[in-house]
Amino acid sequence: MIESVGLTKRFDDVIAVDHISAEIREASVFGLVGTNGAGKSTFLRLAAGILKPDEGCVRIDGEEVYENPGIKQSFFYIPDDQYFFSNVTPIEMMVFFSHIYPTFDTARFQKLLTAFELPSGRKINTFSKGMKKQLSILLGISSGTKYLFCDETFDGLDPVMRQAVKSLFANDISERGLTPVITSHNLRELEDICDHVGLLHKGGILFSKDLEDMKLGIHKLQCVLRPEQDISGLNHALEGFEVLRDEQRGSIHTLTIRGGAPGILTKMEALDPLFFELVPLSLEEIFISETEVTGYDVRKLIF
Amino acid sequence: MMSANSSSEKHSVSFLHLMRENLRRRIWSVALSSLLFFFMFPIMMMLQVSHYLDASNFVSLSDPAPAMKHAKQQVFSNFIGWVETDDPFLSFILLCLAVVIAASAFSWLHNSRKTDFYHSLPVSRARLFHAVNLNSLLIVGVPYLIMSLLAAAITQTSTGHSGCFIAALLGYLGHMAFFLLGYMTVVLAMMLTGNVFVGLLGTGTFFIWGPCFVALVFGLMNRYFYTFCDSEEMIQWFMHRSSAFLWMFPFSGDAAVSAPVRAALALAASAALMIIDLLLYFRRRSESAGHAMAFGITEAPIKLMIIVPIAIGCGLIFQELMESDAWTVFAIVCALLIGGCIMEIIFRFDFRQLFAHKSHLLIGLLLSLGIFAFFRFDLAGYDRYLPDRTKLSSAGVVTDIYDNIWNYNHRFELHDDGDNVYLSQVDNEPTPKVLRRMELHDLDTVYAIAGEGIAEASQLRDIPFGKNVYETAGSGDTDVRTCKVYIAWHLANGRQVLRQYTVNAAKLHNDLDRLHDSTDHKKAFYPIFSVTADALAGVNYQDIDNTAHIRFPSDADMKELLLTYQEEFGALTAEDRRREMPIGALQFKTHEFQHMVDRLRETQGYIGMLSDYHFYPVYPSFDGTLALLEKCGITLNSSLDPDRIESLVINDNRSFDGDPSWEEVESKRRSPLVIHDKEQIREVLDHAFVNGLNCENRLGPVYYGLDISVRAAFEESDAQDSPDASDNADAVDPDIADGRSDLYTAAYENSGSIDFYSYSLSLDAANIPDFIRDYFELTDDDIRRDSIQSY
Repeated sequence: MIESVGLTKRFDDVIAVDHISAEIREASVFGLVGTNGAGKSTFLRLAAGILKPDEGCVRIDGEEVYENPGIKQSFFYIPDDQYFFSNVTPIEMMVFFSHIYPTFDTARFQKLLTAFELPSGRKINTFSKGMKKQLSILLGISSGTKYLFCDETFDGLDPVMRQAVKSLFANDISERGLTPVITSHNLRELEDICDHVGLLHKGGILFSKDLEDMKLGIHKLQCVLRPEQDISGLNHALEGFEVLRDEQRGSIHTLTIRGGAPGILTKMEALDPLFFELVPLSLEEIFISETEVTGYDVRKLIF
Repeated sequence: MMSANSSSEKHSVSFLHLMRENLRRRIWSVALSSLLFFFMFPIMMMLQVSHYLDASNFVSLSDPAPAMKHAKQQVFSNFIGWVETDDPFLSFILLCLAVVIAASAFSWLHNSRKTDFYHSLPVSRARLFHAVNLNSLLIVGVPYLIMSLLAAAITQTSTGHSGCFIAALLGYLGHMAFFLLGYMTVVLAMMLTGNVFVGLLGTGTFFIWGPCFVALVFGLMNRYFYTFCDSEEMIQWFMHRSSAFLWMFPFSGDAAVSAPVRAALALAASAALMIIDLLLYFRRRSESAGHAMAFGITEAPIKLMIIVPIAIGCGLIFQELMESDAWTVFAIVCALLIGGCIMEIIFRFDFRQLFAHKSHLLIGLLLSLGIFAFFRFDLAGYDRYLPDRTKLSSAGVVTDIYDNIWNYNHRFELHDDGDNVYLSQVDNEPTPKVLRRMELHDLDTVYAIAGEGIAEASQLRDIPFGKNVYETAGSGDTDVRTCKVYIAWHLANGRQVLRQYTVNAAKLHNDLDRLHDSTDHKKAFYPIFSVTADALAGVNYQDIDNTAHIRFPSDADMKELLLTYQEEFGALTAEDRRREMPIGALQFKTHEFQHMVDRLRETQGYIGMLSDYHFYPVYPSFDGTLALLEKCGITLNSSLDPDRIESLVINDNRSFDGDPSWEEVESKRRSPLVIHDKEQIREVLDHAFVNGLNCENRLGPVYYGLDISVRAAFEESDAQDSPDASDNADAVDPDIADGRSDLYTAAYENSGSIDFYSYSLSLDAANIPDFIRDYFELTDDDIRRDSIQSY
């Protein structure tokens, strides 16, 4: 488990990470979203033991990360702009990392290189940005570490590659309990991969929740009331549920409601409107609903 | 950290793997180092062998063996000189390598991508640091060792001389110690900075800041402290220790520190620097990559440490140029502002941030002006220093008014490496050593001299720049006889304080006479008093015609001569010296001295230096000494036979009051007076002293306003064995039958069929013949001005 406690990092007068306390469970995908400058990369560099916290700490499996080579062997850090030695080939990088990470699987790496159609003997500095990203991910996955820190890794990958990487993650999560921690400024990128999402803003964490919990606990209800029914009847029928958002376009009412689906359905059946249905929320809509409650306009932050 | 260590122990990456991976990234350094040493050692020696030992060089010789032997010796010597620790070229090459290797080894610390990469790896900083450093050492050390041993093998095989490998290994150890010192210094600069360019600037700063600072402090003391005892040796001592860069090279002024000692200290300093570097690396934050300075806290001190000395240095230059306090302050302010702005640009990488820290500039300005005022107005009272009598154990005083200190304190060292034997000077400045060993207890005299010096230094501080206190005291003041006096205060606590004064000797007549006559002073100033009879190996004598060995009837006579001379020379007073001039000189040779003579003679080395110094005057009043010389068959001759003189030429060399131009001087001087008349020649010789002895009497009654040149005819009795040896007593075979070889100090001329000797004479200031006074219209003031007989 990765745990940050009151984690704070300042760069001169700028507070890049401001007292963040969060937990990242094992064998799940943790997504860290936020605008540019929100502190995502700094958080990840703190988690990777690159930066020393000014306050608080990051613990991985109960041990502080900074200057702890033993714990550092449990993760692989993929920065936004990965550094490769000059004039080296993917195979040479593989050799390097295989000396650094005892769990590095060279056979799998070579297999993945072939699968991703990356030339193993070509110098990396001739690779495109996307190819370098792919190579970083393949090196990370092949390192066999328990955690994988990906900073904006999906940015720059085409949809096919993104899907392929996601399936690799899914495979390793199920097979060996890999825990990827992925940062992104784009919610849509993380929507179908993350189990848990944290939202960073101005160095602080707005919230951190399980995506499933969020999806189960919040619903979008669309309904058309009968002519004799009015909105007060609808509100009355949904008493006991927290209505986060209420929109009306023509005769269609769209409500975002916090609560369990069966209860909402029972209430609506009792109201017996002309039409109603529960529509699944996108991650984006969940975020909008959740953050509006806290007073933030998330659309300004992440879209 | 504790838990970190426990984890790292369990899962650490192999150190060898780490080194190997690091080495792979630095292949170009290996190539550079190997190539450099390949050309510097094996190729260089092969060129030497090919050049010197080529058989075709010797085909024209009937017997090439000696030449070949000499050539082999030359190649061997060149090799030894090339590999030894004192070789400055090799030190310089290794210094350059240290900069390149260290800057490249830690260049990743100056790039945020690379820093993130390395610091995200499961490798502790200490392990990474040591792996990188060990690789740096191997990158330079292994090719250097292999190539130098290869060169040793080439040399040994070609010349047949043994000892090449030992010399190569000893040189290797010394130079590697210097390399480490340079390397660790550069690493320090890299650790303190976040940018390669700034790191290199930092390296340059580390190398030159210390010497510049020392030069500045000495410059300020020299300029503003009028009693400061400027010592080249002391400056060199401090400079040598102020920079890793200079420590690599041998300093003539710091000869006491031999190459092995320098290397050992360099190694110790490298170890200390390595610990500092490692601690800095631990404290260094990854985010500092790309910034000018890795530690923000160092910015202000470093800035001040650079701009304040620069500002004061510029002020000092303006002071020298303009001789004005206003210009000095102007230069300080300008230099500080410009320097501060440049530093700010370097720190911020932004021209618009010129005045980002005005407070730093203000502090720098106050510091600079404060330091300037400290020296300019002697706020510490340096020039007023006079120790409390109760805290004083003794004092030493040296002045040039009696004698030239070099004549008696010139020390030589014999360098003997088989075929190559030569003399070198042991130290550049005998004065501090004489002062150190002098223990005067007549402190009233010393206080009186120092008090006069302090009073005159105080006047000097208050008069306009560039003027001499004696110039302002009034031109033509004939009671002013300036001289330099060095005083060492030996404090009871063991400390020694040195001061120098320019004093008016005329005011200190009695004190200076007392000092001269003091036994303590003589014993420290003239090494002859520390020579024991047992240590004596021989004596040379000199008069106006001869320089030769003395053949003593017995050793007891030789010892008696020493003791008698010591007694008579010790009793010589200043008043005696004002009355009479030396008629000859004696050089007492110790066994050590004689050994040097013998070795130089054996190897046909240059021996002349030994005959130029350590000659002690024999005055007419030294009856005992003269009697003993007579016993050895030597009568010192101090006068020329008028019958030998063909002509005398008296040249006008007078000085004049004020500060006349060269043209004015030339117009006032009379044309030379040529004398052929025998009576006049006799009269001149009766009132003149023949110059040419290797000792002098600065208190003597000599008038230097007129120079007399004499041409004396050659006499059969003047025959000499070899003119080459004419300046050199010890070039003579010591077993010459009569114990004398008449070697002439006078310049020998051959003019057609007649040979002449030229002599130079000076007149007795108190007895200048009237016809000369009339011809040159000499006044008493003229005579006093150009006489040095008294103070």
